[in-house]
Parts: sequence; structure tokens; C-alpha cells
Amino acid sequence: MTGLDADDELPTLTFELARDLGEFPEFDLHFDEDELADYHRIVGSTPTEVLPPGIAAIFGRLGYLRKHAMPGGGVLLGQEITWLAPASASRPLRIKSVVESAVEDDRGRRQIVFVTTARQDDTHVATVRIKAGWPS
Amino acid sequence: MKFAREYEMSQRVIDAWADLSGDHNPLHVDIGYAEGTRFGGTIAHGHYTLAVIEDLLLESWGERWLRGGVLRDLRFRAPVRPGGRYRVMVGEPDGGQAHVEVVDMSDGTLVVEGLAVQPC
Repeated sequence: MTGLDADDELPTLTFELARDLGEFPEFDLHFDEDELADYHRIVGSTPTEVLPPGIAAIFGRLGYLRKHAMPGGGVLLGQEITWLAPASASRPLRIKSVVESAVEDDRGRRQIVFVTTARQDDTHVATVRIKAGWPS
Repeated sequence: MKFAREYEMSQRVIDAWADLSGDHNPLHVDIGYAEGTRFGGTIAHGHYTLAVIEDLLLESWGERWLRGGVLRDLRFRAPVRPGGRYRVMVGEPDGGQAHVEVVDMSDGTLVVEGLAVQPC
């Protein structure tokens, strides 16, 4: 997969940093034939002409963690994946994540909602919404 | 249940998914670290389970799933552990929505549940 750095080289995505950034740089994500074969082998799915929809589970997270490390102690509170159009398995996706909300309640509990969109050429193919409890 | 798939989780699969997804959280890949957490050992990535569900939905409903299908209200109720065997099930649609669940086949524990909304 293109453009991944080792976690230990990346700055930690703190609550404050995510809130202040508000959005993350777009990038192209492409799985070559070998990586797609690995994906199908690991997940147990059958290759088709379209990009397997389970890839959304990867880019939904990668959109905001490609250049940051996840702090320890985070909790996944909810996730929603919407597919809008099939994507070709042979062409890259354009991934973009934004912070929809970053809130702290009166007990000091912090939650962030990330929304990640995937486009292929000019077509919006999928949206992933992730709600996470963020460590202090 | 209308569609189902079974799979066995292993540390080898967890490690391979970590390499593919770029998520090397020690809770998933560092056995020594994970033994000291409240989980008492490594657990599979939640997004691995999501990938299995999404791909089963494609197999179940065809490419129609990719033209407006929504997987939502996901709840992660228990960890998926190496050595465990799991069944993913997509129920009969009712009002355009189908219940999705993943259960531990050893004791029937519900580990993940959610709703799949069919495209119009």
C-alpha cells in the first residue's frame, strides 16, 4: 500500500491536535495486485473486478492516521460505512478525512468524530464515519 | 439468517492484517504487552471484522450493495481473539434493513452487531 510510514516515526494524534487540525491532507491510496491478493487471502473473500468494500475499514482509519500515531487507550464507539458507487480495483482512491466534531463533556470524557471520503476519478465512492473515545 | 460465513482467527491473520492496514497497535501484535492489558492477550483489529462483514454483504447482495448500501449502528461487544472461531451472519431484510452479527462459535457470545441498510 502506498505511502505508509512506521508508527514509531509518527507524531501522536492527540485530542488537541486533531481538534486544531480539523482536517487531514488528501492522499492517493492504491493496492497493487499482490496486496489485493493478500487482502482476499486474509479476509477470506473472493476477488472481483471491483475494489472489495472491506477496504473501507482500512481507509476509514488511515485517512486521519496516515501521518499520525493513534494514542493508547482510545475506544471505538461507533462506525458507519456508506458505499455510493463501485470502485475499480485497479485504480487509486483519493482519501480525505475531516474532524466533524471533537468534544469534551463535563466529566472530561473526550470524543472525536472523523468523516473520511473516498473518491475515484470524479466519483464519490464511499464515506466512513468513525466515533472514537479519545484518551486525555 | 440468510447469509453466513465462518472464519478462524489466528495471530498469523492478525499480524498479516496489521501489515496490510498499517495498524501495528501493540494490543494486536505484541503478545507480551497485550497480556498486561484488561484483555489478557492480543485481540483482532475491529476493522478486520468490518472488512469480513462488508465483503459478505457484497457476496450476499451483489454490486447493488455498492450503490447506496450502509453499514451502521455497529457495536463491538466482545473481542475477537486468536484461536477463536466466528460466524458472521446477515439476516433477512425487514423494511430494507438486515441485522448483522458476529458470534463466537464456542459459546454463542455476540461479539459484533449492526445494521445493513439495503440500497433503494
